[in-house]
Amino acid sequence: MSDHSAGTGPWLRPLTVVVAVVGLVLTAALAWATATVNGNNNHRLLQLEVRQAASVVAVSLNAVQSQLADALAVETDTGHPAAFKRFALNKITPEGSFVSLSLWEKNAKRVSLLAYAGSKPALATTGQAARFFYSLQPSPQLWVAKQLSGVVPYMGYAYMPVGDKHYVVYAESPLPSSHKFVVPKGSAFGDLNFALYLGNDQDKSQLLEASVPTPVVGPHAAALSPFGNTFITVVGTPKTPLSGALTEALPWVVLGVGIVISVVGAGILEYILRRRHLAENLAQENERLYLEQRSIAATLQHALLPVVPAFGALQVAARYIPGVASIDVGGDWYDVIDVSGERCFFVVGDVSGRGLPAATAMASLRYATRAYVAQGDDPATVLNRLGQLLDFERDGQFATVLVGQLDLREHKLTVASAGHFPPLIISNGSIHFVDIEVTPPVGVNGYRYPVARRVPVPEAGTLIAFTDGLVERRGETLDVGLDRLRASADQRDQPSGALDSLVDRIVDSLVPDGVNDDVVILGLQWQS
Amino acid sequence: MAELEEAVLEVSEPTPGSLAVRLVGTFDLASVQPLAPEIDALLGRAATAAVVDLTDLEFMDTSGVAVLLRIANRFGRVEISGASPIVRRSIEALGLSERLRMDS
Repeated sequence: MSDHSAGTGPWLRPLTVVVAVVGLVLTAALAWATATVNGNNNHRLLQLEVRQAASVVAVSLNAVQSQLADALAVETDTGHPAAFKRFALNKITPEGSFVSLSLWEKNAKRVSLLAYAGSKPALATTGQAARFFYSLQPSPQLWVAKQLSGVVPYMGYAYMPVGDKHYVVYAESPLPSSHKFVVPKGSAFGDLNFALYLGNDQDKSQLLEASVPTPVVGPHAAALSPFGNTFITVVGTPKTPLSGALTEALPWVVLGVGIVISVVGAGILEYILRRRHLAENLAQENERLYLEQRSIAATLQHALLPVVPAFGALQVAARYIPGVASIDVGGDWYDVIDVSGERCFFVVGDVSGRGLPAATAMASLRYATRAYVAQGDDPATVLNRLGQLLDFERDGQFATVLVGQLDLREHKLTVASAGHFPPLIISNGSIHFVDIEVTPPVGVNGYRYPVARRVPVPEAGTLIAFTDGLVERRGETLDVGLDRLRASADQRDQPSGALDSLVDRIVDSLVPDGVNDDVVILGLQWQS
Repeated sequence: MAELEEAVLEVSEPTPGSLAVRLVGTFDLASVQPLAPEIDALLGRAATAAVVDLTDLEFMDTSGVAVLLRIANRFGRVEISGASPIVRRSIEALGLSERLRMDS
């Protein structure tokens, strides 16, 4: 067997690796792009929601301010702290924003608490009231007080509009003690967690409240909201991906599908490449076997054919060219039998069909011919006797046989043909086929007895006998092929050509690239 | 490799006991071998006469002539018609023009 292992090892072919790598790189790039776009979209949505949340915070402060303004109006209109207190009590409800609403009077000397509703303001109990209220300036905005640490953290809102002389309305609302709160699920911002800081940055000490541990990690967005005389920084982080679970999973889906396609595609490619490699190997192997078989057939054929040396005044050249269409042995043969120094028999024959039956029939005909010649039979008798060995009806084979007896003492040729081409005689200035009567092939018996023809031959000449493969071509009559042979054998332009070179010239010119059928060509040359 | 020429064998029985056989294409060693089952089937038919039409036979070598010979041997009366000069010459060269008598 030839080398089948090349390229069929466990390693992948370079093309497969390239396809797989390109596929995986594209997949990774696509997944990365998807993830990036997804992340950008999520972040944009988050920013939008956090900004909206911040604006809600600002709006809620407006609500606080309008309540404080109402309370202040009551006091300004009535001038009685009691009226203020009655009004304020209505505002202190469990659902309300404040636990404490108070009225303060501020003048150059002192700050005093006039009245309060709800719990006593923590500002008053911590002793920081004076400092806060003196820092307070009349303003259209709320003034924010804060106590972010301690047991009860709270937010305070003071309102002292411009133009008011000395009254300040102050409200307090508690902060959750651990600064934790829960964003209600059903609310507009239920899909976010928040952390609120007072001021314009995420200062840990200024944390008001948060529904997540702070500082916020992971994807988050911050928005700044004006908050009275200060700001609130709203930090939002999504509880779940804002654009939905499927969108979030998309990069992974892209990655997974891409990897599967790349791997499966590379696998299919590898399979196809290996199959092609196998097919190529198989074709090579077949070609090799074909050539080997042909070479065996040719070797066998040559073994069945004689090596004919020159004897006496006779030069002999014989060629056997196996047909290219078949790997079988064929049924073509030739023989030259020396009878005496100046008489010899020559035989050229062709058993129909191919393969072992043709070759064995050929061998038996060849040896039988030698026996008949040895017992002194003439060419016609030899052909007649051969007909007893082969029967077309019985064997399915027939043989075309040309038997000739060349007498160089008398310069006579006696030749008989059973279905075979006549020989070509070349002499000085003349080239012609011997005119003989062709009787049916050996094996097609009972119609005609073989007829021998006795003709004179020149003192020096060449005889060419051959089988049909030399002259028979599709699309033309045999006469065209015979004429071609006669033309190629014409050596008037090179009269001293040796027999071997003449035979080779004929073969080269008539069988340049081989033909389907086997070819036998036998040349005899004699000098006076 | 040699080009493959196709051989086609058409058989009909226009009148009972008499076959009409048509050889079409190229009948040579390579093309006749695959036709062996059809040739055997033809030779197995019960008929006493056959007309063989070679009008569309382009070329035949000895293997093709052997087919013709088997048909001629099998059916007593055989007429061969339509042989082209190429085919006619191949039969003549084998010395078989008396055995395989062709209409002129």
